[in-house]
Amino acid sequence: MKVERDEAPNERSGVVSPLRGGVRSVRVAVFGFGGVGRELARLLAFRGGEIERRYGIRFLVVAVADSRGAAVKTEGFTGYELLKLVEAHRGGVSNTPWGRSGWSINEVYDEIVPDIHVEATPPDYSTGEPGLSHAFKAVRKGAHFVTANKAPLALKFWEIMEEASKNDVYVGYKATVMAGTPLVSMLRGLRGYSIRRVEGILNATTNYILSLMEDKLVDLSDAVRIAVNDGVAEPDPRLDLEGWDAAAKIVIIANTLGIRLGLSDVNREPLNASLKDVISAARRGFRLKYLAVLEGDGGGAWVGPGEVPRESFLGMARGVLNAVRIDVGVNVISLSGKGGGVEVTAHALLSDMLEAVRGWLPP
Amino acid sequence: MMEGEVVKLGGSILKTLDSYVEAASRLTMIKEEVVAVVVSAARGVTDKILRACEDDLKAGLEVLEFYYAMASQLSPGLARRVSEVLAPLKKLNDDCKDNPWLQARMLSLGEAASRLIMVESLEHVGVKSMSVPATSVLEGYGYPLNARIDYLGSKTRLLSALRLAVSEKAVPVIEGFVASSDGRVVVLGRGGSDYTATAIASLAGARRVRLVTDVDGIYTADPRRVPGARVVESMGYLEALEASRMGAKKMHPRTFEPHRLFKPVEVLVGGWDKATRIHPKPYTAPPRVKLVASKPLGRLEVLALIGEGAPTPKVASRVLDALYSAGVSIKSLHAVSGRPSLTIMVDRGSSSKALEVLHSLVGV
Ligand SMILES: NC(=O)c1ccc[n+]([C@@H]2O[C@H](COP(=O)([O-])OP(=O)(O)OC[C@H]3O[C@@H](n4cnc5c(N)ncnc54)[C@H](OP(=O)(O)O)[C@@H]3O)[C@@H](O)[C@H]2O)c1
Repeated sequence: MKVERDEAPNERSGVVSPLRGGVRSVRVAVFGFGGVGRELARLLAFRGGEIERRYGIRFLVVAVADSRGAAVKTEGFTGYELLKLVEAHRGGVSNTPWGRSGWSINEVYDEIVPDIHVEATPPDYSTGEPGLSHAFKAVRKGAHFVTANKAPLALKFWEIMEEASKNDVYVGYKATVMAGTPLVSMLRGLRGYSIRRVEGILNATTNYILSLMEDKLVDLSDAVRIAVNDGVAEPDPRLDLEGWDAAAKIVIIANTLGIRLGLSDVNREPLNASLKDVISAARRGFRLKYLAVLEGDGGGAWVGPGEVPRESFLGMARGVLNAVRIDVGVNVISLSGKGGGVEVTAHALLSDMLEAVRGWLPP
Repeated sequence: MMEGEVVKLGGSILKTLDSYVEAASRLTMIKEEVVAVVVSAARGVTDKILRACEDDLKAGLEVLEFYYAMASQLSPGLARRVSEVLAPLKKLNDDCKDNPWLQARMLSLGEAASRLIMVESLEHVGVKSMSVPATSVLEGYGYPLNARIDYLGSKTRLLSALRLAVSEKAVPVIEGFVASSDGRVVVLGRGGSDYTATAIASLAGARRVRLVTDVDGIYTADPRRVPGARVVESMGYLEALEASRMGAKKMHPRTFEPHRLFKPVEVLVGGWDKATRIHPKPYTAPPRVKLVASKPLGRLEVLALIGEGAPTPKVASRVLDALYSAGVSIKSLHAVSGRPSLTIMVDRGSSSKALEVLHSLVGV
């Protein structure tokens, strides 16, 4: 059932649009079946029919995998079956009727190579694993790679892109930055512009924490605790507080703009603000924000706390909002929107999945 | 649009695994009719979680153990899933007391676990069933502990889930009381499952909502105090709301809101076999007195004759006559314009007598 080479979705020739009555099946494998992976599965279950009617694309989930194993069904799970997988306990997809205990990506790919590989495993910024090996495996096997996990791209952006282009597959990563507010799509539309400066609030957790400090006049540790209780921060928010998350995002932004930058090139300062800093900034009409900045013309990148005028575009992005301001010399472009949450992230993945097979969509 | 009915299983009938399975077996008989099943938390769970949030941490653990024990009887996988879902109850601390977001999230867990158990109970009796978290289909807004449903914001997502259920021939189970607001969990206030059920029914275009509880319906009077009390056969929305306000049958105050805004739906309140029918049109039959409700107020007792036929001069004079002949002196008698009731206040001491006398006027 593998899609034949000559009708590969990214080739414009032989486009079959739903306007002409064709429905294409696209096989999808989801690696990482936690919050994001499950939300995507649920989205496909609930909205699959609608996607098919609107775009003529039938996404068939043929495999899902967590850290303990996989569940595989080569003809694709039904909506009902997807929801059963979603209700499996954590690490439990291999205990379902389609389960293959201990299977990892190699066994799954030996059984079936998907058209689209979705990566929703946790990020590891030192090794990049498991995302990095998954990325290479996927693109080398000819699967489009759509990821919510930032680590592989933050560490080996160009290597992955080169391999993907060699194998003629798409890499979608809209979900990695501003989870769904389509910054990445916008950046792709800025090719050719000169980049003076990109500055943004890219991490929802730290922004929420700083907003709490200002609104409730609590110190950092209390604000962190409240953010965890409110369900905004992860129980272990270190990747956010130490700036790894924001740094990975600015690296992805830079590389999307054609500026080669590695994670280790980013000057990274953790969030260490005291309540006094927050108040002092407020007194002077500023707000303390956790910023991510990319300077054009080889000026490098940094992430860390910084002050912005309260009434400025970035100053007004509060709570879980993300905001970015891009100065391209002849224009300044601003974008803001939700920075996280499994639902928006799953939608971003779905949108990238459609992008991966855009050759089949009406122009 | 989906014909058929939304069935809401109240906490009063969800007490043990047997009661889940029994409800599931009942559903097998009408499964072609069922658009969605809405479940409450099992009996007593919500109170326990509230207590856990106050500072009685043990109560949280009891909830976990209670659901875990039920789930283990169905399958080990379910037991693990349930304990994962309820894990936050183990980590409750002081913060819960004054953080409404956290409280809402904790309260929602009781409903979520109930949904998981109901789904497995249905599968257990051979009915294909789908777990549909309220947070992924119902959008809410407002105060996190007393949120409202954003009907239009919920409609598309809700209908796509219900359509999947139709095409898969599976019964969708959704927990009541819960919604999400911008990605965060909110709850709809006490009794919110009724509101969830009627909202779903209206949005889906269902014909009927069945609110299943452990009583046979709304009674003409409190059967513990008035031996001759019987189940009211039918009443209108306004009458039902009035009865609810007077404490005759607790219903969420917004239970009938979706019906006013969207498709009016018939609501059955009661048991599986016998129930009071609440219909959208206030005057299908000649206005009558439907029931008498009562609640204490300090040293007094507030009694109310409820029904479109109650707030009339004729009934008022009959009330006065009857109470006078029975030797009951009254403190006040009044009606509020637009509300289908006549309110009488008497001394606590004579309330039982008064209740009985007023009950004889039901049907007038
Ligand atoms: N949550 C958000 O709002 C958000 C937004 C944007 C991007 N993201 C990114 O999306 C990714 C997923 O996030 P999440 O919230 O879904 O995380 P999560 O709930 O922790 O889920 C991670 C999943 O990956 C699985 N996993 C771990 N190692 C694996 C391996 N070697 N092979 C296969 N699966 C493996 C885990 O398995 P077990 O179940 O067995 O543990 C789990 O199912 C992360 O990279 C995150 O940074 C998240």
